[in-house]
Amino acid sequence: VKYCNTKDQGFKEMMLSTFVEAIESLTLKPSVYATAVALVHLSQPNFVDAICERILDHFQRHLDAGNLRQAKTILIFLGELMNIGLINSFAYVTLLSNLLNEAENTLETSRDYYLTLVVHTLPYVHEGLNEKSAPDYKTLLDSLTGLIGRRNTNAYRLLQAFSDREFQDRLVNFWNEFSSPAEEKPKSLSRRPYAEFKEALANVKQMKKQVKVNFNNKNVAKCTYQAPLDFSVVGKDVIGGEVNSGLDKCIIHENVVDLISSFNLNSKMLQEMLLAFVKDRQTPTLVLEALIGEVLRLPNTEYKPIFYAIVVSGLNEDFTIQKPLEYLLGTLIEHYGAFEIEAAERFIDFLSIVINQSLQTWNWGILSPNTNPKRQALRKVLERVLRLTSYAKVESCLPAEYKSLIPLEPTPIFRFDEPGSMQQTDAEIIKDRFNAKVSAEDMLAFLSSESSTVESSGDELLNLFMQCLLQRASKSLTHLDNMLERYANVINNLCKNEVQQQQIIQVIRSIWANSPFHILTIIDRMINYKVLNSRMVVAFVFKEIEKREDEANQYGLNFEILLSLLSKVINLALSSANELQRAKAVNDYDAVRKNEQALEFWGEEQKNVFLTVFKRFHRLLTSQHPSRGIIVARMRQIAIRFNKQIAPLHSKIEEDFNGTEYASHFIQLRSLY
Amino acid sequence: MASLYESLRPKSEYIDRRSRLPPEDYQRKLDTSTTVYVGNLSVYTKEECIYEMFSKCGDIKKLIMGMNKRTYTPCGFCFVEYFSREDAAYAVDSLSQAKLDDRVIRVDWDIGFVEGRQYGSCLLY
Repeated sequence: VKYCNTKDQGFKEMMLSTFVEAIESLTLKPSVYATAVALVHLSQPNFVDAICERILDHFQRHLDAGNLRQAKTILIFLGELMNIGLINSFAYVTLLSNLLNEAENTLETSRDYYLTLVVHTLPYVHEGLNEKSAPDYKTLLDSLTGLIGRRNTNAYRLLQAFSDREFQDRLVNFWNEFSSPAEEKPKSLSRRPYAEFKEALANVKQMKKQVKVNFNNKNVAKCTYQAPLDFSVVGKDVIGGEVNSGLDKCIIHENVVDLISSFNLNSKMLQEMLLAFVKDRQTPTLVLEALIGEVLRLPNTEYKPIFYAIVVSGLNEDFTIQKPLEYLLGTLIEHYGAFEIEAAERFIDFLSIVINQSLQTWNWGILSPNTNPKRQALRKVLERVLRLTSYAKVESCLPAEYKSLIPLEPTPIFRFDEPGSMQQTDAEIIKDRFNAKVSAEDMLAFLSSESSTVESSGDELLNLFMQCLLQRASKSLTHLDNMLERYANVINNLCKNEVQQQQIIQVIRSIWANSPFHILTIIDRMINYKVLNSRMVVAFVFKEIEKREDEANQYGLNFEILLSLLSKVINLALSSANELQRAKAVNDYDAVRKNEQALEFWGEEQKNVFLTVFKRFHRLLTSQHPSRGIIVARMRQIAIRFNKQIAPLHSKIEEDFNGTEYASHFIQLRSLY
Repeated sequence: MASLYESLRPKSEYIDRRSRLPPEDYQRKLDTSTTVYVGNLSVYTKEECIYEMFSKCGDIKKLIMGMNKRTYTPCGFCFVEYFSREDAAYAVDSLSQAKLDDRVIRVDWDIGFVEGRQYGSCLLY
């Protein structure tokens, strides 16, 4: 009020724009800002008109761009203004009706956008609209019921249902809770700051500014949003009676998700906000459930599991979070077997980091490994924890009942260590040359010369050379990189065909049989140094799956190799694109040409690798492989994880599976694209 | 939202004065860098553990361990280069103040690894 009439237009503009940015960004504050705006309106109506004009302009822009969070926050803010009396209730209902009209004739994913906007606003405006515009509000609710009913909630079920509720759709859950006739007034919404200013605001007058938006920009493709699935395990009566109603739970989940989306890449700030949120609303279990739900969300979680794990670990230092965290993790791990593989792996990743961050104080009792699938999940979690810290440290922290779950400490196994064997003699000769750091050319010349003292040749020589190299490289990843950098050329010369390339992978697997981490990393580095090529790795993986029909455990590692490879190919394409940009920025024409070629190569390679992978899946599945269940699950995992890269190829892939019993998976996954 | 509180422009608390770059060039390199500096590591922390932790933010292009220039032993810091800037940003945001081997590590933007920067004098602790 003091600065509203300032003559400094720059300062006034700064006030306006900051106010508007705060209103649209701070998702928990619409009622606070509505109260402030209403109080200012009592003495400075022109300034408030300017704010509202700006806000409506932003609302229009967010609607056109399909920005859900900001549009929702503004709509709630306008609803609070309606509650106070600044905005005409009929105008507000009309606004909501217009949004629903827009939802009426659009595609499923655009319809969800408009429906979500309206449904999530209703708890905030329900009382006000019922009181001021009951007939119009009833008409709105009827049309909303019809629209929700026509949604195809079977579009995809990527997180397998493990609770007894029929629907796992977040939008439908929210609507069902809101429209349930026995619903009490949500506690969380009853504390409106404007209630404290009732007397002052009794005389507030309606604004002249009309609350209207246009839908002239028919770029509805931008407004794509499909409500995520909801996994909630927390019932209405949770620890300590945190909430009174299902709607409370839905609102708190939404608030947390909005907070996560607001604090983009600022985990410290997010942690502080969440802690404040928990302390204010006394709902630690629901906050954690919403966070973990985001980890499991398919196809794409907003952030990677590590981001959430570090946020949760930070929250865990506050003792109010510990018990709810233990309860949730203990419950979820019981249901591990019901997750889609991609969600399951994210959960394992998440849990392993959370445990690693508080290894000394972790309460192992909550995850007691008494039954499967818990034991299976815990084995994987421990394997990941062991990759993050020393073996001895983890062993010292584990209770006795967990000891049988931890894998053997990774140690390389070299075949040529048998004393007196020809391999040992030849190995000593090769290792001497490694110790002397001879160049690749000298090494090659030595191995191929007729006077060479090494007796092995062909496949045996390749095998031996790889064993010696990997033994020397086993000290650290830096040693591995140095050895590959120096001797990649030698390996490529010894390796004449694809069969021998596959032999290299066999050697790696035999040396590091008890360490998937080392197998994956060595293959990854070898692709970097062009010792292995992507198509050969794909062929190897599928050949292994085809022949090892009874070794179900091996599938895990084979598919990990495949996932790592696909990720690698994408990154190499990305790297070429980045290098190209850098070269263009400094006008380095040679580098531009070189990187254009590299980008074209890796772009083609990426496309071909994905097509090959799905063709091999097709072959496996149509050959009546006994482990079809695992193979289908892994195929879905790849389709989910790499959905962006597969999108342009999806119709071709789906065509190949047409007419088979697996076609339904691709129809289901179509909604990802 | 975070723009209301602090600038999102990457800034490094550490400045490599040996680079001898003018401030604008230094900032430009930071703005396009895909490399992060990791400090306050335990000298006993294995390279594999660092690799595993940081690969959770994205695929690693290269990991260069800091070494004592006399003894060639780990020195408590390293550089991690990612394929994409987005992944590096994840690392800076998610892993600053995370723990590795019970030590709170420091992760910061870096202008990019250049041969020679891996050697530190480091004090034994």
